[in-house]
Amino acid sequence: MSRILMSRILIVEDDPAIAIALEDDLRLEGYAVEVVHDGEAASKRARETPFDLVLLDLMLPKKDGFEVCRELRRSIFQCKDEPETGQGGKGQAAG
Amino acid sequence: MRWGGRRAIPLLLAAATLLPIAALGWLSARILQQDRAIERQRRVEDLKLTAGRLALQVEGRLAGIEDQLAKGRGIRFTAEGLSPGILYQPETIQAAQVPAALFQEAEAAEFQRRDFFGAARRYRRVAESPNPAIRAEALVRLGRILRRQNDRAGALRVYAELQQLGSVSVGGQPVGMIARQVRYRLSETPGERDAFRQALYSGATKMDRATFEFYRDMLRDWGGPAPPASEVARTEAAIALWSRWKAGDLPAHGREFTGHTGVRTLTLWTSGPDGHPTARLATVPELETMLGPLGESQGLEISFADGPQKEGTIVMTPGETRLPFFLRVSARGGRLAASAFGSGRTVLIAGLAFTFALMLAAAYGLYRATTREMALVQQQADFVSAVSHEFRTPLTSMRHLTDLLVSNKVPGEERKAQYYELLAHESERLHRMVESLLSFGRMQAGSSAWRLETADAKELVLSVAEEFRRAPRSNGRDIVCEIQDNLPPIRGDREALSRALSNLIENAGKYSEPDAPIRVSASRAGDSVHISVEDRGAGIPRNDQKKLFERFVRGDEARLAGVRGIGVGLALVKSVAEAHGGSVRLESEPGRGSTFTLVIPCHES
Repeated sequence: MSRILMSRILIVEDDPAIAIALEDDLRLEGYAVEVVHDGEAASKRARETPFDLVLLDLMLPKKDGFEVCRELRRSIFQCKDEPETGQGGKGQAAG
Repeated sequence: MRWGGRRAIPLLLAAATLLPIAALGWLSARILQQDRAIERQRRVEDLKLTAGRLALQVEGRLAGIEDQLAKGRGIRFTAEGLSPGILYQPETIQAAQVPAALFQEAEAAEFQRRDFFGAARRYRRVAESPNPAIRAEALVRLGRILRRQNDRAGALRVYAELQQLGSVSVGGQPVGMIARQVRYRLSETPGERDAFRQALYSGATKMDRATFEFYRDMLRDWGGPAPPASEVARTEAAIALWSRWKAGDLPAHGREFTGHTGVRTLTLWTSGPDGHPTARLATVPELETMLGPLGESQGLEISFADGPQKEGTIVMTPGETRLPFFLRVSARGGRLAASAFGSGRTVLIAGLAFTFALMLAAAYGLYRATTREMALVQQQADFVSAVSHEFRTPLTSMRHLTDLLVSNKVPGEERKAQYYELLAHESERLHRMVESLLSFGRMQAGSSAWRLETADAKELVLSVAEEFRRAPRSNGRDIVCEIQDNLPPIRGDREALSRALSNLIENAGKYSEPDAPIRVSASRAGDSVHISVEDRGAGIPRNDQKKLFERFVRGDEARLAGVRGIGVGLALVKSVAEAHGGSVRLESEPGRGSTFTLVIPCHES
């Protein structure tokens, strides 16, 4: 609440105990936190909305952390180099 | 580093094996080589020894001949010539002097009056003389008359009589030869010709060289053979020796090996007390027949040939043997007493081959043991890391949750209730892991720790399924139980069987989608009860299926899918089944799901 600019954090964790503890902790610190429980949901969410930070577990159901990370990175580079993402602006920074 | 070191181990092993094998091979090659050399050496020594013995025997044989010579048995030398035994005499034989007056009357009747009967009668009378020379002259003349009278039978009788007189000569010709020659002329049978040849070439009849050559040419005209080269050589050698004796430069006795008319001849001679030598001559072919059997009896071959000898021939000089000739001896058929060494070598080769095989087997065994041990070490390392990770995860989250609760920062009572539920879940998880490890420890300790009692399979399955349903980890997943009626009782450790079954059910839950049902069935098959747990999960790749039941092993797919575990669950299931005299079966198809079946024998009551 004290923060003027709320940083957005995505937590990707399949263990509910770890996920809930992290979520509450970070929320208490003043971040906007979102939690997903598997790799597919993570890459879907991350593409839909820009996050300032993604906390990514490695061993995940459906799609593992490495795979999710690779996909996210690829989509970021695409935004940088190819203008036909819908924005039209040249050299628009994506992250 | 670690992996490099591991790969180096088989190489090191191979080097450590190949090096001694190479050394052993080299050594054995050397040993065999030496063995062969020693054997060859021994053979040569053996041959030398036998050859030395043979030389002594040959010497003995010659000494025996010399003994005979001393007794006068052999060709005797006299001033006129040599005793029979050679083809011809060294000097011209003079015709015996027979008084011509003896035949005057008879010849007058024969030639002037042509009174053949009277002449024959007179010759017959003269032929009764005791003097063989006179008899011979008379018989020759009588034969001539009878032939002229065409009295063939009478003539043959006369010549037979004449033949008895042998060496007596008429006009320089031995009457024996005259008689045989006429008999052949009269009959012209091969038998008579052979008798003639026999008489001529046997040396039984004394004649000079010119006479011999005359008859020899006559025989040749009749189509007979030339005299044997060996006999000619003997005769020439005897004549040469006789000439030296006549000249006075022949020692009292001696041995010589000389060549005459291209044939080498051994000559032995000994002089009697009267100064007349007696000699024995043997050409090389004769020597070979004489000494050959002596060598044969000892497996040796004697050669008198000059020039290059075949391999392995021992040549003994006259200096060594005191024989007048070089004695060349070789093993018959080229081999000599090889058997004992042959078998020794066979044993050596067999021993070496056995050692090689043993070393290779040992190296292979060592390699297998080492790789297995290394795999086990790797598995244990994986196990420790998996166990610590598995313990740390619930502990970390529990600490985190309790910290938040203690600092009273949890927003709302509902959230708190969620926290408590999670804490319960995590502690349950820890508890199960500790239980699993304890069972594993018991399994390691051996079957003595099992408590066997009669159990009901149906009750067991239902209670385990119920426990799973109620546990928070089931997440409300459905378990379908299909249990045959009238299942026979089984004998087993209830707790262990429950744990095994619950491990299988838990695995099925872990490795399949949360909404896919798990099917547990129990049925009788023969003397056993089959308890199966079937899931609709990812299935297990074929190459993982076998090692899945080993300790600390987790399937590759499971590891990648991020499913938690420490790799002891199935090992425990297998060990429990085996402790009950049963087994675990796995049927699985990737993509379709897996069925694990516990086979437990029925209890015979």
